[in-house]
Amino acid sequence: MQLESFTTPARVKSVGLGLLVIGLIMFVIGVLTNMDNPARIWTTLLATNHYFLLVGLAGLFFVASQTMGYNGWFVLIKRLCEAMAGYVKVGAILMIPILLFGMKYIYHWTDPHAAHDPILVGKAPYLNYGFFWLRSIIYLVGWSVFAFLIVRNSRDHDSHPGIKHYNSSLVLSAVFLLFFGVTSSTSAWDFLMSIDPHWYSTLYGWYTFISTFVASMAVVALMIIVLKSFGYLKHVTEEHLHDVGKFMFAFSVAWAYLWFSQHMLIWYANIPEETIYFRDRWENYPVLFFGTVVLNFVFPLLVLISRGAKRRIQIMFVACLVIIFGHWLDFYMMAMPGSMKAYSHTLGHDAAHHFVYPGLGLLEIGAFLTFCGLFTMVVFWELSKASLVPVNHPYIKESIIHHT
Amino acid sequence: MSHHYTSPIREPLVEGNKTYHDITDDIAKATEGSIKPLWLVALLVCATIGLWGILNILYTIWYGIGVWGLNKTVGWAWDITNFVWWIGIGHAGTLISAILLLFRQRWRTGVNRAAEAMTIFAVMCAAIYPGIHMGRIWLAFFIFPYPNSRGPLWVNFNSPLLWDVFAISTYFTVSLLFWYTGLLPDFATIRDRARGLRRKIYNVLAFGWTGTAKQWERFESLSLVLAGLATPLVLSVHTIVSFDFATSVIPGWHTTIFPPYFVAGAIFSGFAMVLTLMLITRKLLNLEEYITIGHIESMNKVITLTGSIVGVAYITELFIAWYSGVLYEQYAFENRIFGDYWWAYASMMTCNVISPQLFWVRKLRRSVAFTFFLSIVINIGMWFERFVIIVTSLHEDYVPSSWLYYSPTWVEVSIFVGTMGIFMTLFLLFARFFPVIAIAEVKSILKVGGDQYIAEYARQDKAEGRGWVDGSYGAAAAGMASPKSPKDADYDKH
Repeated sequence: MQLESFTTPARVKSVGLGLLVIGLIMFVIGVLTNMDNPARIWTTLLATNHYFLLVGLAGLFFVASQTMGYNGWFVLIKRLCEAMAGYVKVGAILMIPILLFGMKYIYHWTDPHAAHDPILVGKAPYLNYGFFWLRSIIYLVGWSVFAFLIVRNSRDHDSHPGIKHYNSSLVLSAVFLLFFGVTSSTSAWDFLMSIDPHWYSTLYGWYTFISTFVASMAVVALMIIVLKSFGYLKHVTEEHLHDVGKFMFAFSVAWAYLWFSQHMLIWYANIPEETIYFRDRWENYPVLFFGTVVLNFVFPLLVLISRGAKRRIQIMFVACLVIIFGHWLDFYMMAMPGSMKAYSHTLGHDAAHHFVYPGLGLLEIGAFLTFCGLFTMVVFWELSKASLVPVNHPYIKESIIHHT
Repeated sequence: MSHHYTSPIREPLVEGNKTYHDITDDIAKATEGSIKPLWLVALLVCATIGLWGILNILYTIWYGIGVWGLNKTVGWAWDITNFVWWIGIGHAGTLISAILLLFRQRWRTGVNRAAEAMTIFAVMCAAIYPGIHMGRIWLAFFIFPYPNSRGPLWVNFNSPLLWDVFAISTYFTVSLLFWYTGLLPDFATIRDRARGLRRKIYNVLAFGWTGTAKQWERFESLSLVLAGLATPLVLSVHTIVSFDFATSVIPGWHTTIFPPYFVAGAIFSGFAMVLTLMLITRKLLNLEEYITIGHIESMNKVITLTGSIVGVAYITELFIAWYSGVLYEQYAFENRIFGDYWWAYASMMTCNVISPQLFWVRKLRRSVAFTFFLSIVINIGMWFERFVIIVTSLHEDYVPSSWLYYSPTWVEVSIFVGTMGIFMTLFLLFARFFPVIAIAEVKSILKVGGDQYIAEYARQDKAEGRGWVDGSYGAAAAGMASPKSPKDADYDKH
């Protein structure tokens, strides 16, 4: 078994850079044409950055959970997930200015008028600047540190044959999963759910997590396809792609399960304080809101159900792109309506009445493409830092001979 | 490079240098020979308890459910608690067979057969409760939608209680088919060793299985289809049970996290029950080499995982109840913690959230005695969870003048204990007449899970200088793969 070093192919670099540049241009035009609506700009940035941050983090979650489950087959694609985890620190750093400058536009509960809102006064012990920042720092630093430790330990293993690093990876993964188990839910409440500060749903945290987990599986599959096309990962076969495809399929269904559970239970019980969240989305964003269900559930369900499809590069490629976009749209739909509703109320009664709810414009698509480009560049740069094959991993041979 | 390989740091799944013939012998043996007195005594005791339960069910039907302790506000109590508890227990089998297949967990082959049997018996026990809690059991067929002579009176398709009827009956059917399909080749194995009437009976049970290539091919395709169907069903059953509560507007019931949290809790309790039963079975039937400490450890890890998920859900509910700002939600949880039933809430928290965390200690999760103890603690805890959800959310409703304290009557207690008797009776019959471990499936993993093969792979790895091999190699090979001298030099030729 040999180390397989990787240098980012020029074409990948130019695609990453191209996305970044085109995205930035669109985004800047979007910003200039939306200067009157800062809430839209900041909420777009928050949703997009948080999405890519969590997709990277889900890569780390995948490594940790598969390590704990003694998974053998995934060892050959482990480095791809670790490279995704390398994005966590970038997303975490970007989160700071977004929150610092955008918080007052994104989160209605930061408004001074919130002091006259009895519901928000009741939530003030949790939703206040100090405590919010404290929690944010704990999440961002905690996630980055775990990503650093787990990835460093794995890379060190390449030059230090033995079982010691493998044993450490078990301990690190277990501790990370505990931390992640709590923070993945609480951070979803903080960064996203509190945008609709009156509204609450106990399922929200897990729903957010599943959404990014599916997307991270799509990123892994996409990376396999790209790397194979440049002649890397010669031991990775359609068997591995098939297994990643199974995760994409299964967790697309799991996402739909949670989407339905949350939506149906609130619709069925018909309690106005809860239904308002969906009513807002039904009425003001019907295409985008139900579009997420088509992109994230109907499409993968129909396309990925067969065994053959999960082993076909072309089909998987398209499915990956749709899923990555679809779950970003899901994040957008979690964040934007709440912030727009609060913003429209600040315009006064008449203007609020005529307020046009934004759809996907240059601003949103630009932000998405910018972050796609940034994510691509960072992840491939991370990937080039270590061997693609974790040569000393005790399950490496199992992964090489893997077949279904 | 040989066709089969397993990393030698994995624990063997079949110990004792078994040949294929040994596997058949060891597992089929339990169904052969004369009946053991201990088994007979156990069967009689369980059947008597079951009978006592049935008498109490008849008593309930005769006098009406007024003989239970239900009152003005508490209309569901032990009946639905027991129903949900049993349904939850009936989750491990199908999870092990279907979902762990997706996650490629080979250890499932040691316990899947018994877990599936348990699933079926648990669902049967569960189904008793909705039937008898209706009061007029002779009209129970009203729950099925069919063109009838009752005028326009149809079932209410909008009711999750009806969805439950569909979900549970589908789950039961598919689980039964899945379980029985897997049994076919094993019944044939037992038949081939039997004579006379016994041979004829097992031949009928095996549907005349002869093990031709065509039969195996069809067997494989059917198993795949059933596994595909079973996977969503594992989720759907407890999801819909949770809808029974969550679609309402009762504080403490209406919460969106219920579906996945109920599923996690069901798997949690299902694994606990599998452990309770299998730890006894493996001892009595001498199956320690097939259900190894490694198997127990894996199941304990699933318990820690699902227990932690349940713990996160409890804390989420508690937090959001406060965060929601809804007075009634806040009171519902305050009442759970500090109200009349504080002891039920405290038991639930201790048994379900704190106790599985003890399995972080390797020594504890590999201890048979401790695992057995904790599996019972979890069974108790999960019963309390359902009791807390159902009774404490009901007993103090919106009208304080109707607030009441509920306690069960001896009839309810007897019915609950009786279903345990029925469950154990069925399990004992299963353990005597059916192969408790899937013979064919264990054989299929022998070359990747047998200790003698793993020892061989360890030697190979060392010879090839695989990267993980270093100074600690000796410990790994000696402690984990434990190479034993092959008693059958031909094992490679099988």
